[in-house]
Amino acid sequence: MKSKTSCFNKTIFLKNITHFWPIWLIFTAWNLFILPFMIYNHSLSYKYSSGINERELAQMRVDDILGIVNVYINPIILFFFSIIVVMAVFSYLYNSRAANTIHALPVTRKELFLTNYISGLLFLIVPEAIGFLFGILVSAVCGYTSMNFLLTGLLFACGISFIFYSFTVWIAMFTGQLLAVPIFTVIINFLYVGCKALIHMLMSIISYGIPLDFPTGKLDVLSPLYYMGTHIYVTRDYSSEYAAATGLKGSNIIAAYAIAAFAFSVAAYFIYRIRDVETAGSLISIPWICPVFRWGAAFCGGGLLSVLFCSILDLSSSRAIFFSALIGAFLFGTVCFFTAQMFLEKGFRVFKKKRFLECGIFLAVFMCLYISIESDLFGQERKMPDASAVKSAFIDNIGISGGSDADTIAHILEIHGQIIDSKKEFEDYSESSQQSGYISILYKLKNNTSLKRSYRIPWKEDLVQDKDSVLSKIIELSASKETYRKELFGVKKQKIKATACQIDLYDSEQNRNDHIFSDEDTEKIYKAVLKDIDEGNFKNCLTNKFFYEKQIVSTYYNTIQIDFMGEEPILSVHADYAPGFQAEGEKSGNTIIEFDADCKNIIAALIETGVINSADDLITIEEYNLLTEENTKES
Amino acid sequence: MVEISNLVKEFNGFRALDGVNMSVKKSAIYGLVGPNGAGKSTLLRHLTGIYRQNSGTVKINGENVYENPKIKEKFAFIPDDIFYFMQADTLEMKRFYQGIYPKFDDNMFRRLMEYFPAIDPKKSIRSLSKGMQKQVAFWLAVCTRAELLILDEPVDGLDPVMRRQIWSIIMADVSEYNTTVIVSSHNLRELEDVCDHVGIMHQGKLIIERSLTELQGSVCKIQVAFQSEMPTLPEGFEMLHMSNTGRVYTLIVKGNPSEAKMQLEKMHPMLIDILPLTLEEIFIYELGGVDYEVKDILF
Repeated sequence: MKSKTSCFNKTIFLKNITHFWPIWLIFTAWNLFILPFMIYNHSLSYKYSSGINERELAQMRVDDILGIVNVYINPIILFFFSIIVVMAVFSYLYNSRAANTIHALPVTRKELFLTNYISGLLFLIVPEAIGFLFGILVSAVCGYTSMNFLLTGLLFACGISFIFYSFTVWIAMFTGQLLAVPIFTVIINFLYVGCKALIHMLMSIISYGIPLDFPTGKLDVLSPLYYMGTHIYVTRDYSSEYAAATGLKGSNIIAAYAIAAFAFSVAAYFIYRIRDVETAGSLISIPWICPVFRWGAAFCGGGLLSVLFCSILDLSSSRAIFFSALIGAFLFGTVCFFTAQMFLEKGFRVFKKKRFLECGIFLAVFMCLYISIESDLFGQERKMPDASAVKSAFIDNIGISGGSDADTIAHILEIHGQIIDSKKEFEDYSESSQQSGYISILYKLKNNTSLKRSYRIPWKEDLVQDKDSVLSKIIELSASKETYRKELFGVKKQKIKATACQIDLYDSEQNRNDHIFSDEDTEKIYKAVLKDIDEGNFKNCLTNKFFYEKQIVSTYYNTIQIDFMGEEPILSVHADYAPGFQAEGEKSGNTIIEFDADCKNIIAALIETGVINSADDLITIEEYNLLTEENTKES
Repeated sequence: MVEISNLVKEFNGFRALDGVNMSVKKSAIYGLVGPNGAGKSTLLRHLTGIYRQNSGTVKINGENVYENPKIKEKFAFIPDDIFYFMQADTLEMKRFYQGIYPKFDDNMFRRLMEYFPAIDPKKSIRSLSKGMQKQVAFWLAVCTRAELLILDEPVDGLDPVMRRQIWSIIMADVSEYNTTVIVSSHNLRELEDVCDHVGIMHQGKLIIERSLTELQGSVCKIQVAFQSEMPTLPEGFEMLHMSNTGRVYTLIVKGNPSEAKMQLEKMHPMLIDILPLTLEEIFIYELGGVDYEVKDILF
């Protein structure tokens, strides 16, 4: 019999359960596999382990549980199942026969929507709850105590499922084709970051200094799968010897998304109410979305193909690149516009006067975007942060140089300003196929955002003598004592203890012999390295890195590797350079030191420790290469 | 029972229904006929609350149909393309209908089982033939105890025995429970046998809506022969069609047959005879008047 309330229909609900059982059964099996089975499987490993104290065992179990929960709440898996469930419970909307039959029944759309919506949601949540309950049971039997993480995991999984499910239902209401549901859902989930990436790609080929990679931003939340995938994770404590798992991060994000998901569900209901049944089979079921689809497809498709077009042409002149991009935008924008219309009309006869006019308007807007990028209308090319807003600044060329001190920031800003002012000169230089190299400048700002620029600059040995040249200023920064100390032992100023050290030695047959130093000798080598840094003995070695021919002549092929421990977690300059990197890490680190004959303290320490008799026992890169050639000839 | 007033429906600018007015009385068997693309199925989909109209009203028992489950409980609809849930058998569909239609008659379902001997109720309906699927639809629809049966091409695809069987079930339902039936079909000979009212649709409009007797009384076929050529017919003599074989003329005349005969007798014909018109002939000649006629094709 029909339910007394007009919001839920028991018959339709039962029909959903009985007809779509494979979906909820597979999801239940998956959850049972991930939680109870995996917990049991992990617990078996402890049976045969020995020499582990209680505290370590407890931490290992926390690691296990959190590792398992991390898979249980994996957004990609939950996203996949959410789409499948939505496609099943709302499948009747995508087949005209089914849509006609169901809508002729004595049930309101409200009843249909809510019943199907609730059925689908239960298909996701009930299996998760079953997995959780059995997980608790198995955990208890296997001696796990950290069951609070399972509960947190359940809440996370339910929350993420609700978010993706509601979002997919909302998208499902806009289309009349079953296969369009997953396609649109994936596209819309990545639409914001995708468009951002596309605009950055465009800017990187048209504009001066805009890099291909784009920074993360607050608006990335508009791409839920991408955002949740990067912001929901297991937190770890790095204070101990290894990174111990401590909990789950992302509850605030899930809560905020869940509120939005509720709003999407309500919106989906209202769209369902206005949706016409006869749109079953149409790509877009709500008429006013059609122009959005056309323009969106033309923008994304045209933009992407125009970038590809430019890449294939592989032009060097900035003007030629711009015009080829413009031609690509015109051609592919038109193609994508009419292709989108063909999908909408399910036919090829789309070339009508009205559409040509609309396409013309689109192309005008599209071209204006390209022209505005090229003419730097939005000021992206000349954009430089104020020194007071910069937390740290870096230049990435042969190595990474930079830091958070005011002098370094000012130095980098000065270099950056000079590069911007030299735009025409540098572009002409690059076009003339003269020797040039790439550098990247990264600013980490105090508002937790970052700004990155990449340039191609003149790169010749004679420029080093010109103290005002950009290359000379970069070398000055890179080869400074401070920069090199940070590169070797991390950016934090702290007491470092060398824990191990080794050097690779070679005989005339190129046989490698690694010498491992004793603790005492390790300390001697470490001190010698520090002394050479302080005396500026690495300067030539570092400067020569910029010019390979000079580097191979003087730099030794032998390298020294030092393992060390800090009092605080080590923050390498490479990690600090990574955009969005959070300053946390392990206390241990290791570094490889390249040196030359100027590093007299290192050489003296090597002689003192008996590793070499004189500097002649060391071999330069050039000498090593010659030996390789000779040995090859002999063999 | 059914009142449709000024119903308009457009699909992407194409006007499928153009101000349809229709009225069906209780217990009537109303035949909806019209050429392909006239809008019959679209009209029925409005009547069943599937489509939402652009303007106009669709009422059953004085209440709007769209989004009105109380009214929708009162009718059962058999569309031309029937849908069943994947892998569902007849018994499962029966349980579904039982849950959806409060008046579903389980006893009648069992009683009717003997009328559909070829159908295995435990076999997936989608694996049955098209004709058998249609039989299942009838079986279930009749058991809903609906006051109104809306049938779109109901016996299309059924064998002659089963067609008769189905019609006899419908007629029994009508006589026993005063069920109203609206049926759309191209089989006019069959409709003629069962319908008491007919509506003819063309280009989204209901161009004629009358009782069958009235319709047959308003158009007739007259065979007449004169000594010489056909004399000029008097003014007001509304002729839909005329053909001749030698001196014998066959006229399709609109209006009262007796009056038409009297007018022709005044011209002293050699012979005159009035013949009844079949529904199919009425359909053809009426639509011929609105530029939908059989064209002579020469290859």
